[in-house]
Amino acid sequence: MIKDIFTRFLDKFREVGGEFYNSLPEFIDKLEDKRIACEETLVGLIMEVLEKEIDFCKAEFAFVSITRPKALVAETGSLLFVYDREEDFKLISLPYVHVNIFEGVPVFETLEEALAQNQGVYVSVVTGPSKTGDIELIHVFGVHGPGRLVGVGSLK
Amino acid sequence: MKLLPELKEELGILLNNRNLRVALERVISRYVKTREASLSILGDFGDIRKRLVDIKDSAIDEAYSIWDSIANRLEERGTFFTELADAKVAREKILDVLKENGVHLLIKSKSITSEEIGLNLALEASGIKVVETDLGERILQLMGDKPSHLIVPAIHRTKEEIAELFSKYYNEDIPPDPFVITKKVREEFRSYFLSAKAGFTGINVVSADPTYFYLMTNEGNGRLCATLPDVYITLAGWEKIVRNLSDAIFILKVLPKSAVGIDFSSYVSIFAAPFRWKDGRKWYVFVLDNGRKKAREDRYLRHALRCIRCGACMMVCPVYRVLSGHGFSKIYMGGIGVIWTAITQGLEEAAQLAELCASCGRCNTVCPAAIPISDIIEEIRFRVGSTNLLEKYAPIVVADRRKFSSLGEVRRIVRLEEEGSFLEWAFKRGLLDKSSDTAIYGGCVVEEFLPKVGIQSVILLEKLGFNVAVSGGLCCGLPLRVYGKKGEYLRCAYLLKDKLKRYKEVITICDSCYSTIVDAGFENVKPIYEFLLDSNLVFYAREPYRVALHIPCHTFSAGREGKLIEFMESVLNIELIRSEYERVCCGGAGLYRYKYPSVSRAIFDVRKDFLVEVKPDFIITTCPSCLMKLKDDIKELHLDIEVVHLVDFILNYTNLPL
Repeated sequence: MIKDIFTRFLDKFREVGGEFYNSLPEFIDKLEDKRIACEETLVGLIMEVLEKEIDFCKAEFAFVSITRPKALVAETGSLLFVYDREEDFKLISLPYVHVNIFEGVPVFETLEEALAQNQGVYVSVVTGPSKTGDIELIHVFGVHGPGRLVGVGSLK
Repeated sequence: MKLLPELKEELGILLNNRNLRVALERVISRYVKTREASLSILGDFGDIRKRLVDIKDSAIDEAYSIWDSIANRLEERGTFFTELADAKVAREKILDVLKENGVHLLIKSKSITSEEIGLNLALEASGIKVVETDLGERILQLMGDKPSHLIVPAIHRTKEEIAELFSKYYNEDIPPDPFVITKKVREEFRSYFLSAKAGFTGINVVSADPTYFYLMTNEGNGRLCATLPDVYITLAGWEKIVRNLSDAIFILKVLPKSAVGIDFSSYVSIFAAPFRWKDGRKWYVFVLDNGRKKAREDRYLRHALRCIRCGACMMVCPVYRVLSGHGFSKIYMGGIGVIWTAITQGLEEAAQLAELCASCGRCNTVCPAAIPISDIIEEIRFRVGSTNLLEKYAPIVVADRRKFSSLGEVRRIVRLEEEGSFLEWAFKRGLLDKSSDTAIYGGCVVEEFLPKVGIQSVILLEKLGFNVAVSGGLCCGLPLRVYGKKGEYLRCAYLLKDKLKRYKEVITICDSCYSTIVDAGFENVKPIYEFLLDSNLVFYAREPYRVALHIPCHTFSAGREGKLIEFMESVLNIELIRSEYERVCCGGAGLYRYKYPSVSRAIFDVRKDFLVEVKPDFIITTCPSCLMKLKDDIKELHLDIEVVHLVDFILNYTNLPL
């Protein structure tokens, strides 16, 4: 059976250290720390689907960030972000848990196709969580960027 | 230039640093396992190289116009663009920008180009605090230490040492746990990222159209340095360019695979002008020449401008493996480091490093940009001239037998293995230069030190029914070549070629000779195992011996290792004890072992534990020089392992087909 492009993306996304959940509540409800920062356009939607109380805050103070990538890349399992606002850079860089809504996001076969279609002054290609092996080659996640990179299939 | 005894002392200290050696072994043996599989995702290695060479060469060809167009596009959109002629100018200009913007704290992402210009020292001397944000670099910065590895710079430090450092630094008890340490550093760095006025990064690739700057990190520090402060400074080497997006992406894909055997880096950040989103935000792009433009016009050094800084060459380098970036570098490490030192600091500075290279040529075989690293090092040696007495005389020794006995100096150092002469033996039997279709060529090491191997090869082939001559000709020229005696080498190679061409087929019993003869353009030559393989003979070892191979570096660089293994398995019917150590240089490297005995011994010792544990009955090799070296070291270890040349083994330990 030939896997569809999203499934191939997902296989790769998991291979590089990403975690996948079917829906946003499925992941967020389990979290203890509910300090959440998200893209402006997502605030309303998130408030609708998350019933329990959330503490919306700025990225600097958040434990979790929620974003919607501009594109997904099947060959590398990467997420692509095209941003031109400082608040948005912080969302993908600062909180320890970075949650991404995959619903409705186009999947490209190759990185080249994805980048050709999505241009801007700052494009960030994210492939797995932040990691290092600098101390005795022991793998540690979450050095300066997120230690957990999460994808959710849908908002609800 | 440093004097040799001083260097030797320094090397001794390094070689005795057990932490360093153990740590490097750990990185390298892991790397060897993952790299090939990782690269194979991109297809055939030959095709990867072809594409990379094309990408970089075409960009370097157009470098001036590419940079013009990049500069125009950046300036049109309000980005500051400055070309830097050399390290001094670079330090001054960058300092000017920081002063102009009132910067007191600079956050920095690992950049070897910044090390090349000595940036940190210059800035700190002017009162600007520099914080290295890469975890490994940060550890070294706080320790006042220098990197031992290109990708894992603090690999020589144990977690206990690092915990002790941070316990002092944070003035609290930090356990030797990488997770705790990393978390602590993460917390501390948050305030730097959010408060620093300026950020600094190097750059991995720059594409002309679209005009993009690409930065890769795994930790995520690069993009924070680039996006959060108001002032962002990019320092790009002049050679970092490619023409377009697809060329850039290809490099981004090759780099992590070739560097550490991982598929892709966690973060690729792509910056385009104006790279600005608020008033007061400024982007400064600096492009560093520092010898690169001159290298472009040099037909040897030019190739090195293809370098994508993956460090694959270091991982396979036997000298780097024991000396690390501490002993085998001047900022740029390993074999490619010799060349980059020549480009950025000049030939004189590179001379000492060039001598440390063992000329095994393994770097050439793994470079994804097909840079002929060891050939360029030979050229550097040629240009600076040899400085060492042994090097000066040794080539004469091997090239001209008559002068040999008059050189007491060398004679004392190079112990004679056996008495006698292969060529004299052949002459007495009427085999020397006799007319025949097939001839054996022995080479200088066989002639001077191991005549037995030459004699055995003739007896073996005669027993198998072949009518062989023995070709005269003392030396293929390899020792001359590696010691930078280019004229003598070419003369030597030419004379030998002239002698060999009277035969339809020449058989070698030394793979170093083989590879040199092939390089000289002589085609009708085969190593003896390949000759026997093509003759469809079958041998059987007399007993189920436990046999390991030692594949000489030149067997590998001449692409013959497949044939050798095939011969062992399908013709000799031996189940070899395979391991990664079969292809690790023995440390002999011709005269290298006499020049740097302690380094040479350490290179051998890489396989010590393996040999002690596995204890094969035989180690078989196809290079007389490796044979001598392995025999000596194994004898010193008191290991009961017989080291033999392949022809010796076939003749004495197999049942010959009749």
